[in-house]
Amino acid sequence: MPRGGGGRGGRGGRGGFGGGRGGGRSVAQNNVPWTMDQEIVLDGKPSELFPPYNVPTAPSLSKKEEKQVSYFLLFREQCHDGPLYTQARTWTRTSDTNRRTYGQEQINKKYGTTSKATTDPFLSVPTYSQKFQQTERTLPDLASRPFAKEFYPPELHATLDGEDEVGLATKRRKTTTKKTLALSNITSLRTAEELFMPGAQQEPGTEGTGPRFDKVLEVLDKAEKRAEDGEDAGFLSGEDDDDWVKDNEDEDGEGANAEEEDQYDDESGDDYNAEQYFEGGDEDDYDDGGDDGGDYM
Amino acid sequence: MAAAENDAAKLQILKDALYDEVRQHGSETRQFSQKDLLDLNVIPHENVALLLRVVQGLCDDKLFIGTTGHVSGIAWRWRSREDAKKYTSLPNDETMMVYSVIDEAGADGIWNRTIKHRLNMHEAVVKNCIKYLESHQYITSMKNVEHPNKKMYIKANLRPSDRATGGPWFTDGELDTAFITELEMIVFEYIKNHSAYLSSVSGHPTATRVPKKSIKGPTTNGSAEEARGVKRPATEITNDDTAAPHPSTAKSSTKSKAFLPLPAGYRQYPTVTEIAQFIHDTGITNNTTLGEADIQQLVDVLMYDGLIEPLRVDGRKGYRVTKAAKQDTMPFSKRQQELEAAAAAGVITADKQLPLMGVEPTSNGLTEAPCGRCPVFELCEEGGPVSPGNCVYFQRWLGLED
Amino acid sequence: MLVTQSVAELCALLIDELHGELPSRIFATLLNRGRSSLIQLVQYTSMTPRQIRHGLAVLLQHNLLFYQVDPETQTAAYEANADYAYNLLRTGKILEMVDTSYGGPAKDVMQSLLLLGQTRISDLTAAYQEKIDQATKATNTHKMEIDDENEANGVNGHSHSPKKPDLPVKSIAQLNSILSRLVEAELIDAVHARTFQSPDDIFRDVEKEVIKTHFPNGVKGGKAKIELEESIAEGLRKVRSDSKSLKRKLEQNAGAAKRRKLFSNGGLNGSLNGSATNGVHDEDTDPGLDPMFVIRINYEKCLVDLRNRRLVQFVQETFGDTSAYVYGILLRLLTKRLSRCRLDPRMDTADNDDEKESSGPGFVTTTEILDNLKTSVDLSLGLGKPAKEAISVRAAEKIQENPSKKKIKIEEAEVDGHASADEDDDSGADSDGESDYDSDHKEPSSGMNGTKVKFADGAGLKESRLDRPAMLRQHLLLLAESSQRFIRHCGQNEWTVDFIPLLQALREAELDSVIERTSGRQGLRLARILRVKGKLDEKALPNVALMRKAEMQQKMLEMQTAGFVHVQEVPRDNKADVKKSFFLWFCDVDKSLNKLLETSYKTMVHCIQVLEVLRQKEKDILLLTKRSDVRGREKDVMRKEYYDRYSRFLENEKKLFAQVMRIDDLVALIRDF
Repeated sequence: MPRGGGGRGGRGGRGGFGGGRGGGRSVAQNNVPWTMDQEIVLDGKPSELFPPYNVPTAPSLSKKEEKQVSYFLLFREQCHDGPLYTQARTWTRTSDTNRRTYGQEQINKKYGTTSKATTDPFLSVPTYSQKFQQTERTLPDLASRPFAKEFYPPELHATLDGEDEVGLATKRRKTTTKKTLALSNITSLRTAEELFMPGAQQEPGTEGTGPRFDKVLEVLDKAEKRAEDGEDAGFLSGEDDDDWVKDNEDEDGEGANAEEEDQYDDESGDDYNAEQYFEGGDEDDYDDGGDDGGDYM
Repeated sequence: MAAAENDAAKLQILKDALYDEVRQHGSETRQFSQKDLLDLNVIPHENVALLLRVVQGLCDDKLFIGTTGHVSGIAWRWRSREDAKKYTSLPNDETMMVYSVIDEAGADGIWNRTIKHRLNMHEAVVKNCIKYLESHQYITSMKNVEHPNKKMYIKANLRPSDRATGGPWFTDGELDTAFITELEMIVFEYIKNHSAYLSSVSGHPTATRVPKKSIKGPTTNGSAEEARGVKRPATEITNDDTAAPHPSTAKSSTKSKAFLPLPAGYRQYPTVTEIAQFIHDTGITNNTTLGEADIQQLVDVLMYDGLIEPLRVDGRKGYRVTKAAKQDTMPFSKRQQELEAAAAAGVITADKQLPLMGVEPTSNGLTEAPCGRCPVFELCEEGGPVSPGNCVYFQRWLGLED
Repeated sequence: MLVTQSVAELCALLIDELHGELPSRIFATLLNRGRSSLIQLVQYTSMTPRQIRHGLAVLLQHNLLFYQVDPETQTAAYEANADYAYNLLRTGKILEMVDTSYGGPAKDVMQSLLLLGQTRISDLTAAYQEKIDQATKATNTHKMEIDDENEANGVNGHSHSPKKPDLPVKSIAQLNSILSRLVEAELIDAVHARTFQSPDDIFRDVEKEVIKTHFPNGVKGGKAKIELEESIAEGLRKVRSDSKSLKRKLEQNAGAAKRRKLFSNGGLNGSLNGSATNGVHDEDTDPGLDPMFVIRINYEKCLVDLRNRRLVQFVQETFGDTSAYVYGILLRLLTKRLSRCRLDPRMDTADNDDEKESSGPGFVTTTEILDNLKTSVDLSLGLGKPAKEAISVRAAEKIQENPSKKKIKIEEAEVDGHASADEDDDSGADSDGESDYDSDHKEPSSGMNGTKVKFADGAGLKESRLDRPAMLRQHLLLLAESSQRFIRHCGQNEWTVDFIPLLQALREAELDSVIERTSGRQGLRLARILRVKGKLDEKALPNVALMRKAEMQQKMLEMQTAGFVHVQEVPRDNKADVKKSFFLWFCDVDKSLNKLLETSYKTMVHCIQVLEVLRQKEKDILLLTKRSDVRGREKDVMRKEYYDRYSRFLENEKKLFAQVMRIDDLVALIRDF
């Protein structure tokens, strides 16, 4: 039973949230109320760019949301780690490009002014520190993985095969070996601790340890393979443990993949070879188109 | 002369007799036709002429008021001697006429300009009359909620009608929001306590869960539940289908109470009649009488506010609280005290006020983001003077403000 | 989806965020310019044809485009698939949903598929094989004795031996069974010849075909028109059903039934941990799972599951956890055969008997629900216990009619399948007591070959069991009685959900919470009065709302600006004097929701743009973290300041994406559910 303070009526009692009070300037009786704009300040002063506003706060993430966001971010990391990724706009953009754009020309300008596709690869001199920066691709590395080509328009088939090269003189990637898909090696997000406070998390069994360990294993694993084939042992120096990027840098481009493929030649799962299957010869017609597209312009 | 005197005395006797008889037969509002008066058997031999003389005499004494009824044609109402005396004590005809118009207007009151028009008098005269009447406390000025700017008058001994005052919700012509809010809270509290089941939930699943008796009457034996104490509430199953979107704010003390929804078919959800009875019994509304229609109005507002919902079970329309499981179990008065204390301490800002009733409104991604209620949302675009890039609200939202 | 400027911007940002600049740029151009050929794209973007071709390939691989090849020139016209692009932001939610409902390994497969785009099963298998081999090799190299034993037994993937890389999918057999399960759940679809044709193109093709074969002499008269429409609808449905070809193949397969029996029951959290769990069919690679098939994620069905979760959340807010849990089980059973949230008006006509999936969700029985409830859940919780005489059984048990819908009985055979599977489930849960609650993923459910059968029909029912159906029933009836009509009691022991009115009610509820948050409780009051009463003169409002006139007017203004209420001016006479006009207020829910939708898109764009600004600000740090020389030389580059800045950036990034996803909850409810 509610006992109620019948006498306790001191509260404003309007129950409104956030200032519903008309104040002295409230709407006059017979005025047409909707001609008044609440946002227009009537005192004649120029309005502020950001008028006072009680900014809401977001509740902290629930466990489920934490999971969802981290899955999304992990997915993003894996995407960026994959062969189809090209660098995001953020990194190519200079700070003053944050302008309004009018027309296609300016929109085009907004993109990749310094992208490697537009710079001359022979003239840009690499600096020392660039050496350690993760190489950002401007074109996806399609040749490294198989595609279900039957679901692509014919005009893209050569591109999918990695035969859409600048100039035919480049080493043809055309191979008879089978391509394999690679699953991402990134299995967890890197935390700030992992990156910047390596001492903070050494005990085994903690969350962060797994993936790091994975990396080591992978590097070792690769090194082993290479060693078998008499390849450069300097690989272990950990210059880059990202095989996709590595491939990209490789002029040859076959690198580790070719090795890995060998061991699966006898696997039953390999009886289907995407490339051979669709090797109708017709895609050869498109090889010529690879000449920097001059004929299209 | 003696005959005349005798006649006058006789007339006076008849007048008194008729007046007394009429008062026996109805209220001041009843209209008596000529036939009604004759049937009272006061006037001998159904002498119409005599009746007319008697009635005329009563009218002169202001004890009778002649009216023209819709059906009955000409008819009369009686007036108390007290009132009549007021008329007869007035100094002149004009004042009497003004008083009479105000009297006729009854509890609704009348606008001074209407008086002027109706009597076709000069404004100064009306003003004088009103001044006299007001100073001698025959009439009083009043406010009408429908026409708050008009100067209205009403007979001094009348209370303005509901139409004029706006009903029980108005005090001095102003909507009494404090009163309304107070009542709403009481009604809401009543509905909440009578439409949800108060149970004590224990922090530990194996602890006993004897349902607390809260609703008058129904109790159950908790033994059956205790027997299966090992079972867990669905909350504890981390199955995501039931996971809360945001961590609940409820403190998990060992013997916290919680409201639970009542099973389908419950037929004791409070009705408007019951609520009205409850309000009446508490005597909260000391000098205002609230009818069922008034309570219905309050209940409707609570319904529009989304705090309660109607439910018809077996043709009986009751009301129940929405989101029962999330309702605060703190007793009303305690909650009110805390709110007041918080308000006094300045903890509650105008924008983030705790709701007086019910649960805090659910929020969603939009209302939590800086853009949801942003005052310059429409102007905001990349590259413009107001853009996400230079947005101070976002900075604040992210806690990056220096 | 109506592609407005904000949607276009959002899609471009999302693609940029995940797949990079090149595809994003092409996608944005396609959205702005509409369907374009390669040459046109070259012209619009001033990029080289080679860049465009690469970009298009990436977009197609990720299902973000439609195209149509001109049979004469063999060149293609491309179109942006904005729906798929938008769905990218649901990646986290979908993965989390699969994780919770199907287990970690299934999530891993789903994630690979999202990452790789459309993928041939054989390629996926090979990729997993490589991973498994790698892990095995690493294991053999790096550790010696004990773990081998562990591996062989594969007892429990969670027994954290720090030396062993923890692969979510441990064998190809496991991969196959996961794939089968996801295909049967329709979360994975087959790619077919017309997958990348836009709906409009498909419609045109089908229409052309139908006219050519059935109406060679043209369509004349109303009857023929209806026939034409029906034939087109049928043709469209046929195309649509092509994506289910792999599922059908699996179902036809003899092994399928057996496997389903073993796996489909654990839908809630059945995880397939440890290879020993599925040891039985390790060799049993399902012949129905044709390695030649190309598969991709099916967002339509993912949305059905996400919708279920959202509905459960609503029930939880309305009635509490236990009822919500029961509702979740009901929805899962009910939507098993529901392929999409919304019907397509062009192909899902009122009555087509040939395809079950399009004619409503059918119903589930009390027994089915009971059979799928975890035995560990205490149904006595979450409901008040009034005296018996306070309850009107007649009112509670009322059958609620909806004559427009036909009922489809879910086959008895399936019911039996679930029942038996659940007995396994029970045995695990009951015998294991507490530990099951530590983690959902540990719960031995699907694939466990439990032998203990707890309750066979009629035998050994304990007394307490007797009222469990009654308690379940109470929860169901509560849901059926609700004003939102979460459930419809459509027959004795039969329950269904009328999704269309239910979701409309929930959309209104969501709108209400935005109104209440924006304009306060009084604003909500006014809006809801208008919704109930229709158009209302301004003068009538204060009395109904018990508000002061001036305050009411102010609120109405505020809400009109926000798009929650609308006004109509009715002149009193021919002169149309504004001062004398009536002003009728009203509430157009759909209009308000559309405005919310647009605000939502714009807000999401803002969140991502703010993130980009933050990134610019912390560019040096972020580039540093990407540098390969950091690892190994940490001491030189690591400073406290960097750590602080970087972790603050990560925090904000998380917050912004979380907000985008929360806003998507609203978008999904308004637009997709």
